[in-house]
Amino acid sequence: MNAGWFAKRLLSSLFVLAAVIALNFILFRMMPGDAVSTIIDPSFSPEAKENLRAIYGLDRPLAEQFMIYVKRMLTFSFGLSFISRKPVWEELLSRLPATLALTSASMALSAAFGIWLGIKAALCRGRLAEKIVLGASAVTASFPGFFVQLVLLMLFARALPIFPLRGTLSAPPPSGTMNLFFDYVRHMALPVISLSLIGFGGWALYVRNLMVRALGEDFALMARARGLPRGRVVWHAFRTILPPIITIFLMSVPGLVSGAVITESVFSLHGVGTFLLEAVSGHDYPAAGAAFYLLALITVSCNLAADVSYGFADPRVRYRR
Amino acid sequence: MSISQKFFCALLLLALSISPAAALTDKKIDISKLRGPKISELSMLIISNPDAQIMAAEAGELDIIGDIARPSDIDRLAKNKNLQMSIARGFHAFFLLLNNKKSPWDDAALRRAAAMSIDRSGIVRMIFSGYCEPINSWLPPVSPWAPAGGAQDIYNPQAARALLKKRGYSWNMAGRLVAPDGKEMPAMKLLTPLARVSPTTAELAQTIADSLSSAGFPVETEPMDFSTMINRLDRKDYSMAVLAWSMGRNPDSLYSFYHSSMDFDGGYNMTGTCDARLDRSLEALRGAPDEASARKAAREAQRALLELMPSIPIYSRFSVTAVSKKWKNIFTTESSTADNMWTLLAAEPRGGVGRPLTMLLPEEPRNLNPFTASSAYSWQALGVIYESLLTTDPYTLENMDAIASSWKVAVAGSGRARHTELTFKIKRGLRWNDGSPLTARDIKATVDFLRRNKIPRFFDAVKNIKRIETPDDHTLRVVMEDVSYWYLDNVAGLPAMPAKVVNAVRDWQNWDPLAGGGEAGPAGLIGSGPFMLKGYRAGEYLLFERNPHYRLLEGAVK
Repeated sequence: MNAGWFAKRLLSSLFVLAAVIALNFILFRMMPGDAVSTIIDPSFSPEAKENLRAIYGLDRPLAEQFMIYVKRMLTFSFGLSFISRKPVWEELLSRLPATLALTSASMALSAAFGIWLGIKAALCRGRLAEKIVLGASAVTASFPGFFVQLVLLMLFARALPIFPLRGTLSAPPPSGTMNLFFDYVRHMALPVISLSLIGFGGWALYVRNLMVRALGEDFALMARARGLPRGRVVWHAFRTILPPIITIFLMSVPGLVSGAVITESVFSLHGVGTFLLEAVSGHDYPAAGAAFYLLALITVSCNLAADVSYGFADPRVRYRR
Repeated sequence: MSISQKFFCALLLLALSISPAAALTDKKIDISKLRGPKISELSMLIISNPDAQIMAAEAGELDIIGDIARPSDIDRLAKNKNLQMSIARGFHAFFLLLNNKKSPWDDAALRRAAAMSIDRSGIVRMIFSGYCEPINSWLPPVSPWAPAGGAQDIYNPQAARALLKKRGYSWNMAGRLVAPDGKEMPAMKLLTPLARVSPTTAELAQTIADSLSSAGFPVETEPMDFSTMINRLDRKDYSMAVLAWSMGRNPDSLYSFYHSSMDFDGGYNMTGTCDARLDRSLEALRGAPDEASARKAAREAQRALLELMPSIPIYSRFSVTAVSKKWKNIFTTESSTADNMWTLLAAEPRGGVGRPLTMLLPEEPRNLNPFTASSAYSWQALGVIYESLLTTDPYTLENMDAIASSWKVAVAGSGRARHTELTFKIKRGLRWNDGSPLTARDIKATVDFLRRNKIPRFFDAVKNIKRIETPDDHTLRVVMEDVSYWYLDNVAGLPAMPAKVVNAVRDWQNWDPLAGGGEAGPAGLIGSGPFMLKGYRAGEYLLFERNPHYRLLEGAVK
């Protein structure tokens, strides 16, 4: 890797961020209506609406609004949410734990399980085990997520009340650190399992295809011809497919913080995904602007990290550059 | 009575028979003698997923689940042996808006004909399974200010056809209306929210369009994003639209919706109504000096609306609530389902075992700052903490005492200096939930704070206040700028807060009432309501405990 390439890549990322900042502002202002115009309440007079619009800063010229917005984005000071009148940071931070717990756990589980299944399927090519893995993966990947989650909710929270129906904690929460932890795990189990169930199929299919191709390469044939142990051959093959897996994994990181909107909705989780949804539907410019900007920042950073890590994972790429 | 009306009546009786008020209470509760709350703890569980809400009620995790909207959910819960249902006439009304400034809806006769062409009872039956009532009123029929007979279906296609014919309209071979000048009526769009966002409304809009098409009106639905639709309504860039909103019990809202002074971009007169007679009656209504004058003006305004038909009332949705049978003394009336304050005061677990009453909160109350909280869910929580000068009698929907023991509305001054004066007598011995005494000076401090800061939510309620006087600790006199009977409700409905709290607020927009809590609970949420906040976890729950100083507790007021 050379400094010139990295500098160019970094500059490109900054350009993307600048474009996102501008588009973020423009698109929201282009949407019909605003946070005030959708209020239909005869006890809330047009005069009071104008008063509220002034408090929100919506009565200022667009250019001025844009300058304020850019300053906030660059200084990471996002102002107050229109809906909650709380600092946007405060709201985001209060919602991140549930989202991170949900998405990171489910991503780890689905990736681990999916990768393992994919490798098994590739090794059992042509046999019943492969067909089962392929079939199960295709089925789970094709079912609508909310449908799977509602079925699981009905089965294991209602019919067989093993897991709670909602939230991340009991009301009131149990006392003691360990009790609190287990209560949290018990509440998050069903959402995590459901999301993992939805996601593992994609991983399995992808890894299986990569492994089949890798195991068919000459180096694998040579390894087997040399009498290397089967496990070592598999490891060599897996090593070659690691770069794209790492890339996909890193590019999935923005999803960790953007939240699984549907899952959060189904399980009534206080997460970032529902925050985004409410911000957009409610024309909450500070909240929506901040959320999308941070998402873009994380996405660009992860893409950059993926490019860098790709070089480390595959020395040929590093030397070539 | 037409066949459809008979069918509707049968459906209404069937719906109401699911759980008439008498079945939920041993006898009619004399609210003047009610003492409570009997429960020591109340919890509100935040469950945003409608399916999870239903499952939680079935599983016994929720004792009260209110505002159940989907007929399938109502039917499902009604079959549950552990739950009892209560149904009440509601304040949510649905209208077909017509642009009175645009042809052909600038013709009142045509609007009346369209009104008679819509099969409301069919809508009630097919779309809502009977859980609403057809209306021909611009106020909820349950409102004491609504006209008698407001809940009726005026569907009469023959009469509509006769009226159109009388006005010179005819029909072409395709059944489409032809104007008196010989031109076919142009196609019209009926704006409606997207089906994926509001499937019931979208279905309803299509049904209305079909009804009107059958009568010869060339109407097609045009689904769109709600914000886009509101934007077009604001600019009068539409022909027809469907819109629903929750109304209050008072008729003063008619001024906002139909007075010509509200006909501007962003104003509430979205139909563009401009009628001198209606304006006079609405002005008389808004500026009524006393109740008798207000009632007279309200009747005249509604008569004018019947003749003008600026929009077409379609239905008013029933309010439906499910309650666990593990609780007794559940309070309901014709206009109030079980999830009301009186239930919270009277409810006791059967068997006498003390445990929290758990009710549903369908969304996170994003804001517990009473100065900036704007959502119904925030106020569902705040409403058990704060009280106001007056409350509403659940049987008559008239004002009744709360913090104030009596009140008087008088007109003082003469000529252009005439103005309304409100005098409230504050009950003696009242205390805030922290134990400190509640006096008229606290109320004055609260209202002055709201006025001084021009807080949007309360702006309209206080903007016409000239001054507030407290001759003594138990007398509050509010002097208004001009005359209006409705100032009583505006002022009497404000939440009361301690002077020491509001005087300590430096930045009302960023004020966090949950900060700095002590033994008496959050430092900022000091109210005189029946409960006080005990615990709150965002997105999860709110826990309340009984306010030991609540005025209706036995021995609380000495």
